[in-house]
Amino acid sequence: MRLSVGTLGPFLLPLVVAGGAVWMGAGKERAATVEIRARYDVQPGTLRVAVLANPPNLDPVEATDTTSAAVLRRVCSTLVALDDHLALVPDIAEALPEISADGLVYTFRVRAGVRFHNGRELTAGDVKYSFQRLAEPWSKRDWIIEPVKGAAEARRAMIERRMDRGDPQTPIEGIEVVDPRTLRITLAARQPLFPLFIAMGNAAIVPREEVERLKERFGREVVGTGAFRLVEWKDNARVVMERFDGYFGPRPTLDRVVFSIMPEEDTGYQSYLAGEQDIVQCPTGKVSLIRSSNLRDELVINPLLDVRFHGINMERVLRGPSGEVVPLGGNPETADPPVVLTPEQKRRARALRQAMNHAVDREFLCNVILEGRAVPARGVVPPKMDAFNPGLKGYDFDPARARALLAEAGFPGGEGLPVIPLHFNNQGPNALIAQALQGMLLDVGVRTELNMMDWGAYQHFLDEGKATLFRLAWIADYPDPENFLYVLFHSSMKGTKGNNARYVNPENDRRLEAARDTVDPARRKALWREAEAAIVEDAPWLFLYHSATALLVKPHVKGLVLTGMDAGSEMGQADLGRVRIEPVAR
Amino acid sequence: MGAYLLRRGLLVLPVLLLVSFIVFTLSYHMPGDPARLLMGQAANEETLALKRTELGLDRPFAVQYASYLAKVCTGDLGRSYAKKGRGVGEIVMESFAVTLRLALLATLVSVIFGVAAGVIAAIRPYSWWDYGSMLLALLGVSLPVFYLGFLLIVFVARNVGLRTSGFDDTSLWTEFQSLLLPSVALGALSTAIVARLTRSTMIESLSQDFVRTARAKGLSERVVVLRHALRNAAIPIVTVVGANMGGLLVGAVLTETVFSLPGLGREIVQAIFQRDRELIAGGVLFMSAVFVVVNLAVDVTYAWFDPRVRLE
Repeated sequence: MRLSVGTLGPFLLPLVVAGGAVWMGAGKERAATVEIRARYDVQPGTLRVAVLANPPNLDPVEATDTTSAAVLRRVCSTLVALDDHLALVPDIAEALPEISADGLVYTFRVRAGVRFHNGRELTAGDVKYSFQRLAEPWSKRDWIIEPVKGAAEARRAMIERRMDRGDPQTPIEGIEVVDPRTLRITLAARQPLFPLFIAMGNAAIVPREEVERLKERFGREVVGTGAFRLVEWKDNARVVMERFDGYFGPRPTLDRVVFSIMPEEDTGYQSYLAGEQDIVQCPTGKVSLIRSSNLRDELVINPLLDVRFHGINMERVLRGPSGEVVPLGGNPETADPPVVLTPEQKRRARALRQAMNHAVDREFLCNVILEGRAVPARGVVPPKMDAFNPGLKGYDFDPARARALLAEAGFPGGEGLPVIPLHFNNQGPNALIAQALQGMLLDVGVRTELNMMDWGAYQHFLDEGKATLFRLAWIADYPDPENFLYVLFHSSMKGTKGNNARYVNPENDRRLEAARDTVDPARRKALWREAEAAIVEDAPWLFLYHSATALLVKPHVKGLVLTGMDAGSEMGQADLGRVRIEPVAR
Repeated sequence: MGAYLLRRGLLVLPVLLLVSFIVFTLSYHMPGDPARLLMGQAANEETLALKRTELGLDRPFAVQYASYLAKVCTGDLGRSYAKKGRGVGEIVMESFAVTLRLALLATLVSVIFGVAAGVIAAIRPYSWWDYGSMLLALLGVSLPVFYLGFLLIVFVARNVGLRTSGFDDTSLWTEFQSLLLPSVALGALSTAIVARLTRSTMIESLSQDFVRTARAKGLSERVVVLRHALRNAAIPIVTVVGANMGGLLVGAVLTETVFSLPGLGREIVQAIFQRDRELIAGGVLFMSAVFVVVNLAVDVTYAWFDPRVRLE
């Protein structure tokens, strides 16, 4: 059959029309590399923010996602908190705690006149109650209170007696109310990071009567002592918070904060251009466009305390065509069942992992795929953290060195090396990153097979230890290197607790423990750096980059100070109490 | 009629039973542990085991399914794992209210514009009116809803000053504004189908003897077209509109996502990602029931349009 234009017409038409529409849509943006049309409508006293996800649960002890944490940060207060520089400052407490000489007893004095949103004044008893909630069976952050004497026992007791919501708590021995404004906390063992733990929103102080009255619904109608109170939460639509006039701190300038839940970045962006939002996340792929447009001054790139990597399962070995062991992981002897490698095999496995690291062009990932929203990772600790080691060399992009190491590992040009499965979850730029890595690794002779999964299936897959090479990210829970180095690499954290690479190095475990328990800042920093250097040398990850959040912020939003813990437009740490809306003459 | 409705109503039960079984089985075997997703990365095994017990996930499949069915029979669709403190019934009804309004408005759009375009094309066949209407219909069929939605946001909402996205139900007017563009995007495909169907059935209807008779009686062309030809052509249109209505109700997830509307489709998709089994099962079960009821309603309306149809 001959195909003429007439025959193809009906089929071509939709393509032509759709193509035209694409061209029209893109044309405006192309032409707008210098001029993007945007409106600057202002709602006086109201900060409008588009966030990507609906908060699932606002009960402090059950909230683990960033949106819930961001709402809680505004609605609740904690004994101590983090300031703009992520330094510990008193919040509900009058001052930072007095710490006993042995580092075990922390004494807090609660401010006078702190009121819950229901009007009642807060006492030290509320702090004790709220901290004990962290040990309740449904608490998702029991590790915060775990260092306190008797906390583990109290939790076990509540679990064993099948405690229900509203039932009396089992008291924690180490928490003592000295008087209505004084609280004494005794730890089971020294934990210098304890004050940082209780600065997390999960340790927010809540009123017992509201928790007992609302039971499960407390997670929907949370009551705290924060600068704003929750007035509306419509699932998948919006969360509205209004200024709480009884707030104990400086009176917020804003009357309301509205989080509009918009799961599509591009929808939020259009809403921003239409003047309906004051702050949105800049969509993936649009940063370069914005940078070269009239909106460049509205673009805020905020480096995060995070690290992005592809982990290598250190307990796994690869199998050759006839089932023979091809070493990849450094400690497969800790796997179940164990595989014992000779020292020479271990050395070759490390050379292979190092070769893979040298094959990665991190500048390309950061500057091209992520449009400058990231900086290459030379190790684990992010640059904004004080233990960051600027002298750490890490792995340069050096394909020649990668090929040499690959040959040293016994696979010249990749010959004899089995295909390595690479798993990642289908979010954000993960697929693009995985494809780029596949190309870079192939370039030196390492073949990979990409496997994309949804988060639920992916997490399950990782938990079971089935992944060989896998994507993950780590964002700081609290601003301390311990949260990166100890949690992600100590053998006691192996598997689901954080050490997903299942890295075991007894010598480094000792360094990590020493660093964790050291109080002297200089000595502590040195120990963390030593431990990090050893980890980088062992290469249990492909160290990739430290990322940044890209936000669009309208010029009429003043006084916003972002920190390294403000991931996403929900800004889980920034003090919105100081933000003002001041219309700008245009 | 009553016996017919009763019979059809009883037939719904095995359908819903089958749906519940399929959905529950699929969500049960989906990879991923709901307890793990709920408790987060830092949860230890003891905590996870406790959560599994609390949710009843440690029981055998048959027991879980039977207990779920028993609850459903009493009208309780269960509790959401992920949305603490909320019943599935409450979540489904709240989000379905948005989806229903969206689907109704989309249906209205499709009927008004689809029938009008089809009638205009039919009474002036092979004219520019005809080509123009059918070209628009072709566009409606061809453009994916998420893309059309995005075009509407970029080129219509921002130029006309309509709300681009999000759902504001503080007043009827703001709610209408929130749903207007989404309903156009969602109803586009349906509009196109209705327009093409109306055109073909109207052309056929206008060539029938009774239309010639009506014209011979001296009735105005408006009466001939609207009262005689269109009514005769209405049955297939109603069938398609009804079937589409079901489709609009259950297929609005992309529109809800693009326009950030808190509808049931989005709720179910989120539940799938969170392995929120009772919400998945409850949502799909409810959608299935709605689909069946809409189809039944369509069958019933046949009798109204065509007195020759008897429901037995």
